[in-house]
Amino acid sequence: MKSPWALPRTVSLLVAVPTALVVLTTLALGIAAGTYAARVDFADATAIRNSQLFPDEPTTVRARPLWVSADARSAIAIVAEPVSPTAPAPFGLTAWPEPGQFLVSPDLTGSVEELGARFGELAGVLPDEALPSATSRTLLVRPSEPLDDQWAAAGFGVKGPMQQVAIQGSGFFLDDRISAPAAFAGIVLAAVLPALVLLGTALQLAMRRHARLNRTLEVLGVDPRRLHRELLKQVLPPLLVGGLLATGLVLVTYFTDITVPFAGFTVRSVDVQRHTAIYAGSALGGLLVAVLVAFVATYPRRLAQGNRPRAVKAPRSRPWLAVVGVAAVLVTSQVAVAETAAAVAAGEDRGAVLWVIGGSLIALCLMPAMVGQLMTLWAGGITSLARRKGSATALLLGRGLENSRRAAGVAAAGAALIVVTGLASTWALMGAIPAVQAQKVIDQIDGRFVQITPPSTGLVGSEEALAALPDSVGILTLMEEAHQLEDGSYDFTTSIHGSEPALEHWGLVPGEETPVTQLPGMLSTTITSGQTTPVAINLGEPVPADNDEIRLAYVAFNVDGTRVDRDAVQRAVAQSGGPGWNVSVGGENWVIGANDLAHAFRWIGWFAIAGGILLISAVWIRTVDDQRRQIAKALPVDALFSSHPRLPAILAYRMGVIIGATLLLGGGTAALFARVTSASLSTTGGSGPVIAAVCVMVAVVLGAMALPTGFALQKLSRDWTPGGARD
Amino acid sequence: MTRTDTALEPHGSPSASPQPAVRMHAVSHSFGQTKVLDDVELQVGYGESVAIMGRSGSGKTTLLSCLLGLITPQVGEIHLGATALSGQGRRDLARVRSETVGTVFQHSELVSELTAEENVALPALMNPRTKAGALDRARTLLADLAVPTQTRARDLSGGEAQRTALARALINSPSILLADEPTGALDTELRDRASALLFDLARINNCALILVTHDPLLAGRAGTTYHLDQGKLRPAQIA
Repeated sequence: MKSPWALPRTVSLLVAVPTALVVLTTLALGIAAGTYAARVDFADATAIRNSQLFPDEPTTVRARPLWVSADARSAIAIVAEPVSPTAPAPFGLTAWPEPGQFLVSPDLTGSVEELGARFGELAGVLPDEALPSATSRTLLVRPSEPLDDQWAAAGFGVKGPMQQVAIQGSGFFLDDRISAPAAFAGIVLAAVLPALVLLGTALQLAMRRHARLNRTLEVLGVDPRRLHRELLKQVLPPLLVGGLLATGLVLVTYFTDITVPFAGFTVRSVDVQRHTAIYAGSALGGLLVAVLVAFVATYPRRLAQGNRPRAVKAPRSRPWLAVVGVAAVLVTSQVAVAETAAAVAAGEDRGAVLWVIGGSLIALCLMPAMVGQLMTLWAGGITSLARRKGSATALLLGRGLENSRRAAGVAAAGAALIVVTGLASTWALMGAIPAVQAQKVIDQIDGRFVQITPPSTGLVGSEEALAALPDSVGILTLMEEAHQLEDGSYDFTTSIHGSEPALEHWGLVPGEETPVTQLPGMLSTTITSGQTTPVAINLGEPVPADNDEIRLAYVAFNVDGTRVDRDAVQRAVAQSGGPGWNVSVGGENWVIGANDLAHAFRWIGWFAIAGGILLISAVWIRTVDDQRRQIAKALPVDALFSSHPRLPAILAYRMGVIIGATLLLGGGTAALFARVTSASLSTTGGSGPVIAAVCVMVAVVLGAMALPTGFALQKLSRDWTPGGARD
Repeated sequence: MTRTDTALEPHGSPSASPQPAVRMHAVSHSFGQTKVLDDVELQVGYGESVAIMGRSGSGKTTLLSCLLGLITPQVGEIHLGATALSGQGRRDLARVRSETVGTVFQHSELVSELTAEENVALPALMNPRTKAGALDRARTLLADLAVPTQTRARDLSGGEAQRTALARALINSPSILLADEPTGALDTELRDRASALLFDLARINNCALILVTHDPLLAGRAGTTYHLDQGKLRPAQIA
């Protein structure tokens, strides 16, 4: 006997695909966690996350990590040398590179020329398995000259005045400016949750087919658990098919590298093998979540208090839940804005990402209640107006919308679509826009000078390293002198040293004090970056050797005003002073930071598109279901009693109301949270235009989804016969 | 319609039991300010039949729902045989319905994709206690009621569908038959045949039959007729 609960193939497919997507999105969490773990392991192994000495490190190596730039993005160079001929080579290499040679990670093979100017000759590519991810930007450099004990440390430790160094662009994971919990929560918000919404929608659709049968059988005395078991039996095969498809992919990744489309990232088999538990656990966790959702979704709804087979109706409205939702959105968005403002005021690089994501998650969970309440209010208004005006169309519209779970479901999914894609878009733009702005600045500077930074600030006598530069290059030395004040604190004075022609090149008069504000624009920006010194003092050459002022940096420029060859300057100072000397174009660090951020934020855009597609699918399924139901209800009235077809108008207005609720609540929620990013997006008019664009997109999508129903309606109207439309 | 001595044979309803099949004692229930059942008393013994009439909205369906355990009355007690319905959970109530009650709906509520035989057997197949031989029993019941067994429900006529629903109500050998407007959707001829069948089956199987109807002719077949008005259940005379 064929099971009366058997699912048609299309419905089975509708369950299997979202299940696979739930598993894949949770797998994304696993990949993020795996990459993060790999990065931490790598950082610990090379001690580049910590700024203190590591006395227990093996003494076979002397090394120091350097933050460097390549192709306008950051990278980590591990400058290391063996302290004995028998010292094993690091990173799984069979032999050390020769002095003056370096190896790069695969992601840096396109920047060899630029890196070679500083580090010498390329000796090869670092083995994949030595790196935390496929997109790690790491170099191993063996300096041509033995490392200075003051600069390097025994082992892969760090010595000297250090800065916090992170491995930038280590792949799947966002960079250090976004915390791990925020990144995980973001993936849940933008991918896992939409996949669950889609799965829930598909299961709802599947279960609705059997709702009346289940209720009839329960009235006839069938145990609800037995019914539940039957329903689960039908749903489990597509669930398992979806789950197996996705977990099969994990198995494939165990043996083969798989490139994530449009993300420039490869899930490497070596990573999966290293962190099998994380990858397999996350995929299995996704499958368990999918099964759990199916378990809950298939439990037959309680029977209504009546002897006809009806399920318990949801309460007509849940005002308190809607109020909680609105309050949660207002409070969490306000706290996020306040937190961000406080961080900005304190000059701290911390945001309120968790507040935004947490608040958005609460909003999405309570969105059905908020939408339902709003639509109930609107429906009441429409019905009341219809009764006053005697409008049949409005009456059918208003009553049809009252407590309509389907209509609220469409609007809730649409609102979720706006919140997820709207927030992700603003966030992604926040990462991209600084890079564009920074590039504009660097274009203005146009390479008219470069900044040379010594390995350690305050390196007295470091001018010797500049001796290798040709005469055509002028040099300004940026120094800082500390003055102890009466209260014991220190005040700093910045001074610029340079030859008379060099100073005159910049319009500076030797021996005179010049306010910082009157320095040439870009020079001022560059050399005073991060400094609070109010006055510059121009002094003539030479800088006395016994001058104990701290050398901050040097500015090199072509005396004839032409563009400086950055690589040539880098090569010259590195050859004479070692790989610790860094040459950068003015504003370059800003561009690098912005590019790193934009590169890391590409995942936000990627997940936003993936989440958007999932939610659009859910909206589409719900729209079709809602319209089908509405047609079944209203078609007989329309066909039998109406002087002209009202159903198209009813459906159009209904869609209008749904779109209105979607835009109001989805757009409102997204806009409230996006205020956090508004300041960053000031050049594009804040987050408003982005949210507005997303709202328009969603409205168009929802409207377009109603069109096929309109066409189908014509046929239905033609074919309708009494009794044929019974639902 | 022919009758065989197999499925329609009395199936051991506890006629010798000292308890009535159905007992409602001091049952009251309100929806908001509207009192639908007001201190209702009802006892129906095995083999007895009761018809409940009343205006639309008078509470007939609510009374039937209380008997099915779908509504828990705010006041009073309901016993089906020895089992008190109050305090029972959802699953226990389903079990009581399965073992004790057969229900006939106004609309047959058949699964359109299944054959008549499968429709009848379905409630029995869902219960391990009654699963064995369910299809055979369904076939015999349908043969007795002259319904083609292999026809899909969607292709059955109105009378066949309602007879199939009746067979389904009997598949688990209930001791109580509850029917809500069982002939409401049938024409006069079918209504007469179906109602005769309903009462015959209840009598043969020694079932307590409680039916809710607007139809005086159907009610006239019952041993006792009650009228429900403003929540009060009173004996009625059918003209």
